[in-house]
Amino acid sequence: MDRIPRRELLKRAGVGIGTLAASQMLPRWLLDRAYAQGTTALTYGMAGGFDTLDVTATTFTRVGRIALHIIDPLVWALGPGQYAPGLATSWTVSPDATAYTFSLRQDVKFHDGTPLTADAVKVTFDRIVDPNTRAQTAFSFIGPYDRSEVVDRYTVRVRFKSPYAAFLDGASSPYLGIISPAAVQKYGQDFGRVVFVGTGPFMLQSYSTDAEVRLIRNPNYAWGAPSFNHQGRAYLESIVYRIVPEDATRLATFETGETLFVEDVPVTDYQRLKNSRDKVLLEIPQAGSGWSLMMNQTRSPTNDLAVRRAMMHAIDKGGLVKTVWNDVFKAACSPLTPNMFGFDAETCRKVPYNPDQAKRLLDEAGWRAGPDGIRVKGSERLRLEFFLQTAPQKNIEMAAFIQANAKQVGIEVNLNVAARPAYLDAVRQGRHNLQFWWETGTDPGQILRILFHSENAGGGTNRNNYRSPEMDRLIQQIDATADPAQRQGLVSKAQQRALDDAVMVYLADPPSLYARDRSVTGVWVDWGGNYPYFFNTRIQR
Amino acid sequence: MLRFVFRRLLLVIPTMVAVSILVFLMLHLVPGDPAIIFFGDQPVTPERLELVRHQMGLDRPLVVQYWDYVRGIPRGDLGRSIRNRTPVLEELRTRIGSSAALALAAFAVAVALGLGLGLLSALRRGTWVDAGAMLVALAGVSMPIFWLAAMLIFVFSLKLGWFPATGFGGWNRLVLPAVALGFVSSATLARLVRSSVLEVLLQPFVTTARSKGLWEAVVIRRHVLKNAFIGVITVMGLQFGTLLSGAVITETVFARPGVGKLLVDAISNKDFPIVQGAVLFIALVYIVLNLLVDLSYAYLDPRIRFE
Repeated sequence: MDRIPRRELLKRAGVGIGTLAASQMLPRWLLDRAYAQGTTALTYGMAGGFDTLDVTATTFTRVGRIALHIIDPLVWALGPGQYAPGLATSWTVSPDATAYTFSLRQDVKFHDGTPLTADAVKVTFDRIVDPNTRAQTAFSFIGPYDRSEVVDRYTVRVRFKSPYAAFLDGASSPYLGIISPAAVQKYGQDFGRVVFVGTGPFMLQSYSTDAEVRLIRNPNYAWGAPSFNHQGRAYLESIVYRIVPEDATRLATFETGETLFVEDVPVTDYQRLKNSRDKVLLEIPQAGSGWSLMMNQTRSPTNDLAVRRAMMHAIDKGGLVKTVWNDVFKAACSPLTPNMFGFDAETCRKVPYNPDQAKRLLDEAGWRAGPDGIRVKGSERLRLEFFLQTAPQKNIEMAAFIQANAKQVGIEVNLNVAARPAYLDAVRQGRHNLQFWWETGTDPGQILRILFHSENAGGGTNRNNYRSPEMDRLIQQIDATADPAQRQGLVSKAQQRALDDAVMVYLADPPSLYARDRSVTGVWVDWGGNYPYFFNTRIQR
Repeated sequence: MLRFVFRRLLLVIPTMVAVSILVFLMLHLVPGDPAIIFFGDQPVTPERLELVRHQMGLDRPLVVQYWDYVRGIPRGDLGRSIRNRTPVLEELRTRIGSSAALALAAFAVAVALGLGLGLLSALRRGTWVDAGAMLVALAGVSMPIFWLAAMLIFVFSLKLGWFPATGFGGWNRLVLPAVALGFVSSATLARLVRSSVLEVLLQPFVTTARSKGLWEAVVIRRHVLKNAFIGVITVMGLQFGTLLSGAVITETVFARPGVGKLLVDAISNKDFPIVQGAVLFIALVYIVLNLLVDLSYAYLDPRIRFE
């Protein structure tokens, strides 16, 4: 090997160091370009993937969040029980709440150029109840649907088999958004997978499973709902939903400007973002039913009313929200969150945290403390089987807190942490005493039906397996009553009944937590906290 | 040689049949009804549940289900997901590209680091260089990948701003996941290279080569490395398979779509066709890799002949 002269060596070293330095600059330069969002594209950090983009068939709230931009709902919900025109300019409801007649806008076109007519509404709704669609969330929202009648080109009447006062609530959700009949016919099973055609202010550009969904502005949009004070095209040219399941990574993309809007902000980042100068935290109390414990009434010992009542008094909800949820969540009182129509504030006084009361109730019912502090009655030990899923991690933290609280009053709680298939097997078959529940929704009747109606017991969603003819009657009356004052009274009664029968333990009411970069303005979120909508959004640098 | 390759390729068929039967049976033995999982926490009547079970084809005898599945394979039809009805082949296709890019980049990192560190520590045995290199390898073996990934994001994305935090689309999004995944697998490789090289260095033919007056670099390249590589290349082959199909944590932390994540999600949803398709793909990858590894033996050691 030849010797290299010193001068040459220094020259080569200089070139090497220079190249290295340049390579250090390169990624930064490329990065700046990659992060340069401009003022026309919004990048959204989404907390997970989903099953299908077909809003009619999905079970995912995230799909509703995206789809709300691609479709238009018939009506918009501006607050509990307050509806404003969407694709429907006006509507009437029959006195018995079994028929709804909608007059449609006459200037609306789908992304494929076909006009919106009454027939499209009929096709959309018929598709929801078609067994082949396997609709889930949309199927719940459409309730006891019977048929749609095309009255004329722009008037449609939707009929129900039984009174259904909650239909406007369903019609305001993205899941009942009107889709293009021509596209459904053309693409069949591929609708929602490769195409998704509605009338909304944005159109689907591309969808990479588990990676991202790209929407571009609908250039022909001229039918913005009056409540948005803006009729024409959206201000943004595109929205990119990037799927970033890991909390820390999603927050990192937000900090670096890789995303400008994020959902599911972890409670651990709550305070930091609240105090941030260039980020804004959006905190909207979630509508529906907060985190709670279902107690199986068909399995001993939770078939004993005293045991269920004792559980209601034994759990320190204030301590739970502080320890597990950093006080970002609020202690819950009722099966309905406080912002729901008909929420009864009286429920907050009814079942206070009182371990002594819990012990008294158990003593009176014959459950005596055994040698290890766990109570027994005859030969039965007071042991509750608690089934929960491995994710989210907060489940396990809450369960451990509940376990410790229950032990204080002599109840043993055995945690069975299982993967989803085994968990669902156990709770659908009723092998549990306890399981968690959490539900979003904006209609009280729908929530109460899911939790308490006997039609959902025995393997359905009422995993309390609670069967009460009085509760069933109340829920049916709520569904059939359109008069607000009367409805409120019924909803209140149902909550009282659920507390008297000690059906569930209500733990924590969550807020929906989103965060936006300060440059992003004009974001609208529905009052239930589920759907951030970017029709009026601008990015101002 | 060609006959050997042809024979090995023919063996793919019975291997794949055995894999498909095993996976099929295992999936059906594990508890959990796909129709119940499909509805999850949504309200459903027994009639709808039965209907979906029928639509998923779960009410047919097991043999019929298996036969229907196998019949499609020669036509390239791996069926459709029973959950969202997407063709399995398409679900795989959309993820293989991303998985392959990550696996190749991570493999490059693993090989460069693993060979470099292993060789360096073997040649400088007993010095601080050896100790340092093995310390790095030890760190790689013991470090949980999710922690390393989070640290890389923290330093290189959040603090220095050199690379994006999420790894999908564009070469600069590939760097952090490739380093995280590659570093962890390089550790095993480094330790293996070190011990193999040390073993060969003690062989009499190395002394002979040196006594002939050969350059040390030539001794190492021609005589030591080639002989030490027989064992190393077997592990490298297996590692590439793991990088391609088992990078679930890396894919999750860096938000990349991939075959590993697809498989894990499909298992938790009991989406039979997807699980079967993904496992068949992974089996095929391993078969091809093993064949390539076997063929490389002949190059590394001329005494090995395939007849």
